[in-house]
Amino acid sequence: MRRAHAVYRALLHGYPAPFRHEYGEQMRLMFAEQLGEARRTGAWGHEAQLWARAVLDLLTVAPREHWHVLKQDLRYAFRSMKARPGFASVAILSLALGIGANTAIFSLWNSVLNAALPGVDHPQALVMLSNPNSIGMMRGRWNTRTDGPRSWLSYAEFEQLRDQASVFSMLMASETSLSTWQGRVDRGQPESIRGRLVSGGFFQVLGAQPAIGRLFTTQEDSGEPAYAVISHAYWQRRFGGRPDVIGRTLSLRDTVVAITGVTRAGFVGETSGQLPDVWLPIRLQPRVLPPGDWLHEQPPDKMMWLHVFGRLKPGVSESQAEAQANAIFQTGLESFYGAAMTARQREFLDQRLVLQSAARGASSTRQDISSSLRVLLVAVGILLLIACANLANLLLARGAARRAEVAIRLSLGASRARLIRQLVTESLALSLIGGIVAIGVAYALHRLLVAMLREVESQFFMSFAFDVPMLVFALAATIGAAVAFGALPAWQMTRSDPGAQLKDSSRGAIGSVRELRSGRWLVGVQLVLSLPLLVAAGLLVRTAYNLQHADLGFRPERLLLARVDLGTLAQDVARRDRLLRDLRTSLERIPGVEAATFSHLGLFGGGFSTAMIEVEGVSTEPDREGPLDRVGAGYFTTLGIPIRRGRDISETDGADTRKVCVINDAFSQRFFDRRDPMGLHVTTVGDDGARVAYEIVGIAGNARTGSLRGDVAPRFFVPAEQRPSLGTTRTFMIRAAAGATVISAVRKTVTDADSTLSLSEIASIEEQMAPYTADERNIAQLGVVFGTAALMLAAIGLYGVLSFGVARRASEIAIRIALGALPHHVIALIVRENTALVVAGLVLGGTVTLWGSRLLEARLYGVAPQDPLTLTIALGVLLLVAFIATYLPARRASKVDPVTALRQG
Amino acid sequence: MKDPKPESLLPLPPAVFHILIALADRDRHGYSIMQDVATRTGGAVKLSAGTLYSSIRRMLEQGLIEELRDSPDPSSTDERRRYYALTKFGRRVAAAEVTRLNALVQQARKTGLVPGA
Repeated sequence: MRRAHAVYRALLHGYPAPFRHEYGEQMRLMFAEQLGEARRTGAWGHEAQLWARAVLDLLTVAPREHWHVLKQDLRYAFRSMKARPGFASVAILSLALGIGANTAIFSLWNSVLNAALPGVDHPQALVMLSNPNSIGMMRGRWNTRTDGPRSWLSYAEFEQLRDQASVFSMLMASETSLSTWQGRVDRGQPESIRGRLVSGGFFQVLGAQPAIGRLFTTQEDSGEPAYAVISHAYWQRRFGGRPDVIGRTLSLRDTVVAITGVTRAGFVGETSGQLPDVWLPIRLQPRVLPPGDWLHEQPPDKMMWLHVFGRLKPGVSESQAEAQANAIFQTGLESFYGAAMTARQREFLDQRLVLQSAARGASSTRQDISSSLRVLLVAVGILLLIACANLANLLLARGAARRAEVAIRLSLGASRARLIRQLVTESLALSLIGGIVAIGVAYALHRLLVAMLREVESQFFMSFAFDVPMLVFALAATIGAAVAFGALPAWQMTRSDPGAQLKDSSRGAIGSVRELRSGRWLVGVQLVLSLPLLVAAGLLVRTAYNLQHADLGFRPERLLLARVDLGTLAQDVARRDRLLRDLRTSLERIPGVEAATFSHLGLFGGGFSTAMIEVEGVSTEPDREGPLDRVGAGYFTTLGIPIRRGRDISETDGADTRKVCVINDAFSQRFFDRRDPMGLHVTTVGDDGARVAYEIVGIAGNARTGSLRGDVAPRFFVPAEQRPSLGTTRTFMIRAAAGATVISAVRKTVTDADSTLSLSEIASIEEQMAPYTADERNIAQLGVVFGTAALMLAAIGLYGVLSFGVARRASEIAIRIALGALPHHVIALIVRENTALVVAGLVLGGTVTLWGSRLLEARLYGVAPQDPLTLTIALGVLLLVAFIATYLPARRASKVDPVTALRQG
Repeated sequence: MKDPKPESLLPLPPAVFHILIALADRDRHGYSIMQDVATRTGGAVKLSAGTLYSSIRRMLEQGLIEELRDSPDPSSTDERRRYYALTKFGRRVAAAEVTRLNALVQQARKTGLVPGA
């Protein structure tokens, strides 16, 4: 019998506490009597029935009772929100912003880093043979020792794999980068069209279906199909979603393609973070992406420009597939380099492919963006914590005012657990409303973030994913915030003795010593959290400033970059060289132009060029790669790069004159140490062993031409006419005189020079370099916003707690004043009392900062993570804010009229 | 607080109506209510403890019944037992439910669904 009672008592715990407290005893009595009766009658069935009904009650009645209590609590919560709309709106607003910012950043970070390719069938089964994190192209030879496993494949390599490999059910290839054309729709006005060349089978491998029309099949790989498939977004944006889009045409360069289909909404293709307008058959490359034919191998150089994706046949393991792919790839390399390989060429056989999962697709920005977002996520997480600490403070202060109410309820017999539950429900209700609003905030912020990221990566695209991880995160943040700001005040409010409470409140005192202590403790936490945010903001601002004012080694003032496309002229060497010389001279003649020059790579254009070199007097090492640029006359003078010794490249350095070069300081230091490099030679060695020696005629200062970080690489510069190149663009660098506007004159000069030339881009050096600093600038701006927000929240918290403390001590202060204390004594007393709190908070915050700032190290530029100046300024700002927040209430207290204060007390 | 209109609580859940009937002639404690209901219905309706006290909780809140401070039964041996009594409002609600059910039965008879008395 006793055991039966214990079991029933345990069952009663399934009911909400208030119900159990009220009726548990009665239910137990009743059950005991029923049980006794059942046993007296001796019918076993009766007892079993009794238990069955007890369990049934637990499943049906208990949930109803829980719901009833929750409804009561919510009603109570809403009543109390309505009674104090100011507090409720501050709480909801700060929570909505805090949770919204966290959710937006989390959602973006999660999509960038973890989300599978949208619109793709079974993305987990997708594999790729190229490097998913690398986008670009390379003409020449791949060196495994310096470049690692092969990043991109040539078209011929893809064809060999597609035709010979038996481990894949299907393979396809796609252009790694997105191309942009000035194209026409139905031969209308030119407009920008972004697209990607893909092989047949592209859509089948991804498992994509058309919204209307049809997608490419493997048929597109043969013949010269002039078809295009457009994306759903482009269809909606450009064609208003009209079904008659099928059959309409796009003109890209001289090629007209007909639209055959539209992909479904959400499908972006194989590269995450990019959304092409159009996909074109890869066969069109020579016509739409000239010059050159990238579809056929042209030894000795390989054109590597493709990602290769596929799906494994059932039962084939990844390692089996990788082994077979590499075997085919090896055979291809051997036949490419031929039987008569030089020793150097034999080294190129040491290349391999790595097979990896392609569920998340390719992306060159994934690593960078996700690391930026991680920094932001930490910052907004801290901000949310500070906001929660503030709300907890407000609740504590409010709790003081509600103390009498709570005490009355406690003395009327309400249980403490019940009251805590009610108060936490109230916090939870506030937080839930905040959380719902936060979804809207997150949506808006997501768009803002994507727009900011687009400054760094112009083709970045990511739609707001209303997915499970995002909702789980938002819910967790909401509940976490509610607990963070609601639990402590609820605990505190229900803690003390109701009798003393009632007495206190009838005397007009507000708040207890314990409450005051909790509040101060929370302020300490806020200081600890604010300092790292402020320091991080400071470091990031200095980084952005340093980057924008970095010593580039050349003069950036009024420098204009004009990229000129040579078109068919690229092949006609003599005419090309003459034209480039003439163009340079014509540009220099434009009124307002001080100087002009050109080079292959330009400045901060993203390209690079290297050659295998031997340096005179330096023992030969294999694979010594030397970065180089081919430059026009007056390169160093125009850019303002100092010539330390010798001379600049000049007009006289032509194709038939003595081969010369200019090296930079880094090159000189690396190879010549204390020897004089002037007159010595740098010899380039071709794959076929061909050697060309360039005499060093000048040494120039180091200049940054491609990256703001790291050391300037050793580099040498040869006259453009003295080193052949397949490149089809040249960048002209034009220095304008102060106050002169020369852009339109430059445009005209280029088009007038020859009709085959076209100006593909013209920008100031600042515009050109903006993407290199955009990431840091954005993060710094956000850092300042978050840092200021943290500072304001901490100031409000500090002020709230201190003025609360001063108000509580009004009578004590009044007595001191009545006894003759001077106002400034009172102020000093209060300020002194709070100094310990502030100092303790800042010391702890400083420790956290010094430890945490290391996480930022990789993003900083020209400033150390433990930079004392930044730390000092941040400390100073916080101290100042803390002082003002202490001083104001203290001053008010010192002006108290003793008589009034004592009468009130 | 003013009582709401009795009709606003209709139709009553069966358990509530049974409890009202059980309390009509005398004040009872929970177990007694359960027994009375069982006896009157010939064992067809057996209120479980959970259903009974959940209903009592609601009826107290609605003002249909009240809890007595003292035991009405001087012979009661168990002080822990709580006794409940019908309020005036509870009586009015019960009456309103009877009227509603009556009208329903009348209608059923009129249409010939069931034979008239």
